[in-house]
Amino acid sequence: MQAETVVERVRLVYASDHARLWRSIYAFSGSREVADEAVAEAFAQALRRGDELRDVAAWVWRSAFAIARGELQRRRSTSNDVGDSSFEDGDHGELAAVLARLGALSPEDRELLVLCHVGGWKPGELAAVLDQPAGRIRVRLHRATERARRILEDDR
Amino acid sequence: MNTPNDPDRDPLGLDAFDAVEAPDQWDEILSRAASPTSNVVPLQRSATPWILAAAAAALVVVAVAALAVRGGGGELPAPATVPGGTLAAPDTVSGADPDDTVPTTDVVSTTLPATGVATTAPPTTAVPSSTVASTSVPTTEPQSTASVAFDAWTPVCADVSGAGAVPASALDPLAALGDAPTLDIGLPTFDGFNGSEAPIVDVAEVPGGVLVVARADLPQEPFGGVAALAVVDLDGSIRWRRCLATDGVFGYRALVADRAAETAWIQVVAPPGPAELIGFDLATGAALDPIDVGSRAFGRVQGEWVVATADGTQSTIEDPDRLLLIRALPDRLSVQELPYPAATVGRPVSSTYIDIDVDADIDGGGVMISAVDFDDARSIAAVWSEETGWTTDPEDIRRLSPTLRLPVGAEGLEFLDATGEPIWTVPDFRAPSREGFVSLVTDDVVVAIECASWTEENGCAWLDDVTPPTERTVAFDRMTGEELWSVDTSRPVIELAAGRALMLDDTDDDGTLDIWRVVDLRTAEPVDGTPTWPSLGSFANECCGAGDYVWTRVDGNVFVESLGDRLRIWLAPESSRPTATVDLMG
Repeated sequence: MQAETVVERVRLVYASDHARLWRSIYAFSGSREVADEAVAEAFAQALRRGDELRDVAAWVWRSAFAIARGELQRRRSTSNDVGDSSFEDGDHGELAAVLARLGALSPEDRELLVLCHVGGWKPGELAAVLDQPAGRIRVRLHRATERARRILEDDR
Repeated sequence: MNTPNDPDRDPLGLDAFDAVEAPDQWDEILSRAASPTSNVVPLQRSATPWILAAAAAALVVVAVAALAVRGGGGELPAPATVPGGTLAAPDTVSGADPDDTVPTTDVVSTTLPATGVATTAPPTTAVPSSTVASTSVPTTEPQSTASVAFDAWTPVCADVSGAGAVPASALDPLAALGDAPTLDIGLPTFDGFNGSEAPIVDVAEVPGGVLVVARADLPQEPFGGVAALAVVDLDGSIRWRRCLATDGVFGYRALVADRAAETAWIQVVAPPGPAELIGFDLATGAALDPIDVGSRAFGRVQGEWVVATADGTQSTIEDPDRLLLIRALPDRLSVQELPYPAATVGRPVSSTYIDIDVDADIDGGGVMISAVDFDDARSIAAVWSEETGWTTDPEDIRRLSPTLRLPVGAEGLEFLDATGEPIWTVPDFRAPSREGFVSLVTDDVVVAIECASWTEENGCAWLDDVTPPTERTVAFDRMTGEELWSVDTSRPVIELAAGRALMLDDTDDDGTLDIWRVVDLRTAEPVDGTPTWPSLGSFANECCGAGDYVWTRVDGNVFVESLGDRLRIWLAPESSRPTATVDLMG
């Protein structure tokens, strides 16, 4: 595949997915810095891989979350803070409240809810991104939603 | 693109993020792509958890690894979470490389127990080392250290030391099950992310009883996880129990040698620190010094074997990197250091999945290791055996266990060798689209569920709003593909030993699968003189997320039935005893 074609292919995914992906990583990590880094690096790696990738969008989404997970873990392992300091990002108002609720979820639940409700993925579509059966994703999503609802009720 | 989310589905109000403006990063992305080394991400990740999660997913992936060799479904991405990653040249190695293997090292620990295995664990014995070996396995009494982590269990976990005596037992093969379970073991609960939860458990047959490993992920710091190990004797007594805490991740699959085992090994991964194997004396419960396997991740445990691989803290596989092929012998570990196959060197760690095949066709027994290339349609990049070393010779690759390819819909059924070539096919087979039991492959027979009401127009759709599609169960000879038998309903099957299986049956042809029978898998005929069990409440293998807790599994000569809150241990009729009810923490 010609380099121009590779760039155009990734560019098309960037145009359609970048904003959603960045918001999703931001929601997942609670950090604009992590979102900037993870999303840019995932797209850059996609460009470098050229035509190795058959499904650029799925690859970029999966890679960005993997990078973000790694960074969150690194921050936890190098920080003395017990809590997740990423969720102290200077946002205010409604968004800060939403970020706080997200921070109370497990990373697995948070990722799944964010992919669905910020990323706009349907459970059936997520099978390709998460490499899990759609049925399992639906069950996980159901349980994550229930836990999120309990967190919200506890807040009230 | 999002419309306001339904609050029932999005109780947290995540559509608030729709208003967040994302930065334009295209120019930065182009710059990074052009200069991969100048823009290294400042994220010094420890990717061990990702690798572990990937390894768990790969238990399924590897089972279908051979499928995609034919160009089918290998489109899943393989994320490299650090920059870099260029494709290596195709591997052209054929035959054994004299440098491919390193002499096996026997490793035994030398001293001391540790209750509360944690980041403060004492200095460890590192492998590989060409000289690591000692002549005995000293044991000491476990020391209980009070900790909030042990209180995490309900009931509270308290160490119990074994007296050093192992009851004699010689269990019969599981060609059938006794009328009732020999052990009914109550499991503890813990306060987890989801309130009171059941632990993830594994069970292994050990001389005189079973080893139960229960693991829990706790939401609070600093104890990210706790584990409880106990040997339950077949009379229902607790031989010993150990209560462990760590801020890392416990591999809950125990590594145990054959029935003569004296030591059980538990995998411990405490990122970003080293991975370890901790041995526990099966007579007393005393822990041995952890054996440090370096910055590696464990693959899936296959009987007494496990492989430890690069854990992803490095971006690519380098020439000096080594795999560890680890085997639990009765009183020690055998650790063999192996290079990576040439085809994987220079590739991202996450692009290669290493797995063991204990059922490979190896003269004189032994195991094969396969290196699956995730970026190349999950093809087999190379295989290793003691005899050949790493090789890409198709004849050697075909020694790996075959794979059943059963795609939903009209693609038919294929039984493939590990190069992706069909051994036999059933082109007009139509697989249903649903969760739950759909196939079983044994040494002799392949069983698969077919959608009987499949049509070109509607596929395997429900016949109307309330009537599911009809199904049939078909068995084939594994070698030839010859159809052995079929029945006009879906019959979940659980393999036992000696060519037999548990199969659900309909006793009065009313359409209700109400009983489990022991059948001969080649004929589906019930085996005379064997018990039956009601389907309700017996031998469930849950799917769709619940399969972590509700499952059946055979280990050696014990049949394990996990019910979430308890375990039932079944033995062959000749070995069964009246059911003993015991609490794992009792």
